[in-house]
Amino acid sequence: MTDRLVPVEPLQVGASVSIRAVDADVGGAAAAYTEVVGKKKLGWFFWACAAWIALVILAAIFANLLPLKNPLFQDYNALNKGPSSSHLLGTDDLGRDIFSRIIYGARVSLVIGFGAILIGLAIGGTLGIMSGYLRGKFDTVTNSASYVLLAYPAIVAIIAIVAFWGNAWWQITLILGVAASPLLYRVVRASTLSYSTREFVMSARALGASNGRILVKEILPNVLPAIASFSLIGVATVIVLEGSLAFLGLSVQPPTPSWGNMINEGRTELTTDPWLVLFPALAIFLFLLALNFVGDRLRQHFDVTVGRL
Amino acid sequence: MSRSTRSAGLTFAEAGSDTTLLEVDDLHTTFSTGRGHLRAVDGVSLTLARSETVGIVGESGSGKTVLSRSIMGLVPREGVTRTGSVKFLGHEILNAPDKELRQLWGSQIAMVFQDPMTSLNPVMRIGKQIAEPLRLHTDMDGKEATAQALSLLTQVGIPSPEERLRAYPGQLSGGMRQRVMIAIALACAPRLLLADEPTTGLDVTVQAQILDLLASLQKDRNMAMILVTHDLGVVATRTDKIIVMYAGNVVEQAPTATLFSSMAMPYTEALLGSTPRIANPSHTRLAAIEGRPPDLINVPPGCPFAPRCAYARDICHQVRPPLVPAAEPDHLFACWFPLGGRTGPPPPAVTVGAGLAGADRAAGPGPGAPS
Repeated sequence: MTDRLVPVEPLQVGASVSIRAVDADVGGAAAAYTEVVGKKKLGWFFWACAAWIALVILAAIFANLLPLKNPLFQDYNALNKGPSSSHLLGTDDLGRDIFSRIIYGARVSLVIGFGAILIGLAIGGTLGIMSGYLRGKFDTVTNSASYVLLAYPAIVAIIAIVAFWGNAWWQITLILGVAASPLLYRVVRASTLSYSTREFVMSARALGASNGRILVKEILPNVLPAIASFSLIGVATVIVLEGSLAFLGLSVQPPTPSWGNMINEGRTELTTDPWLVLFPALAIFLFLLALNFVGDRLRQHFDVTVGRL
Repeated sequence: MSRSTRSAGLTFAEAGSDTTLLEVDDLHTTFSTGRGHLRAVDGVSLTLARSETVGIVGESGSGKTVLSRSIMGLVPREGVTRTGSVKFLGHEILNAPDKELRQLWGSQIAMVFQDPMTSLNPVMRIGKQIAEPLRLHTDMDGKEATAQALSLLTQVGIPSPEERLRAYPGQLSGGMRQRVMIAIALACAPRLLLADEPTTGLDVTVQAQILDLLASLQKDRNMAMILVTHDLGVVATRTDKIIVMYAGNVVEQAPTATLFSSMAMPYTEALLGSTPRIANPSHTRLAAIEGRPPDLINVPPGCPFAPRCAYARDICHQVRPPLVPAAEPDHLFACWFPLGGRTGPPPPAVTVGAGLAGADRAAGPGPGAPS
């Protein structure tokens, strides 16, 4: 429905849309557009953070191929040693190399962090996009369910389930994934809601596209950038959660290293050998900082682009 | 352009001598709102022959957009009731299941939307968006569809179409985007094109280009078109027939030439009077229509335009005038005191005191009106 009154239209067009009225329908706009977009840089700090994330991920994947010490090897001649040339970040109370334990520990943290968010997206994301597009009873039910789940203190539920069910890495991943899904559901649903009322969705419908096709081809590509960047922040949150579980001794069991259980094991030595806690904590801190920054920056980046169009 | 159009299930055979493409009979579209039932379209009938162009004119809120979407079936399922009949090539399509309509949409009936800035998916390349309906309704593979998209872009007059295929909507100007919208709508060679204010969001110089483009494509393709607009100037030279809507009703309907030579309805006159004219000296004040359209939930009895009409008398406020034929062929109007004198039946004699009985009779919902 038009929001203008009767035929004063030419005047209004001239007044309100003069910026794009100038280029009289022939090229020109494209060049101006790329110029504007080109100015919007992500900045060196973004790229530094992204490089750091990539480095940690690659190191974790290829840990076997790197010239690292065995993270489980106990060197009784070097107990609680500070950083040195033979042990870059020192050794713990069993003489294990902290540097290699941090890299192997990254495997656990990363698999659980990314895995849980993927599971969360599979459950919450799918329900969210359907709920936001289809509305109706389906939306009412799933929406209420998400509120109920969000109202429940997640960490208590997670601890209870882990204690009851088990703490293998896949169990932790699954539990944290399910716990993350209501939140992801809400984000995906909100984003979908704003797109499903847009005219291009109506236009796709008018061309005979089915609901499934509209969801996958029209809405999903629009929702995806925002969701992907939010997911990075989600990964950071899950890594912290895993760390908390590990600190409580509820995550992956020793001797398998994870950033969380390294802090847990080092805390008794905190007064004498602080690096036992410091280095894994630093690993978590730096990785999370990078994830949060990259996620946040990407979110802004995509928000602005979408807002402009 | 020889290509097989697939429409599984439904077949729209050419019915030999029958030239009627679309037949709308007593269409009512009612929205259920918190305050009550809003009659956005209140008993509209129209017929459209193949390759005919009809203009639907009216101000904001007159129901013209809802009418075009109701004809197509693009209204929400919940909270909206449609009654009456919409026949496309003899098939009843009002309240047909979505599955059936989807075969019709895009391939037989297509729509160009009002705002080209928001009607294109911002994250999909232009070429892919034009190819989309082809992939949906024809057996073309990706390569053929892309080739066809290129040809369509050329037909709608976009410079360097090869480059534009790979562009995103954000890289095009408003006029170019509307051309892309038209290319998408025409991709499957529909028989009926509904253009809902196709030029409202555009610069004036581009408006004429787009309308000329629509007219020439329509001629080439032998396609019928419903052109919805609030600008009588837009429809004056480009339509065969004009329907003037007010408050969900047709208040005047005539072949274009007849309408402009002998308009009967004061509302039509007021609409025309509020169009700016280039011949006027600068700073001429535009004649606006005073007041606002009636509340469609509580429509007062009598002529809906009466409160804003310069010629309104008592009867106009009490009894709604029916749509009656004028002297000229195919000219219908709904007014007790038409411009240029009355030729139809005289208005009922109503005094102020006796008028209420008449109002009850004539202004109540007609047969088939939703309650």
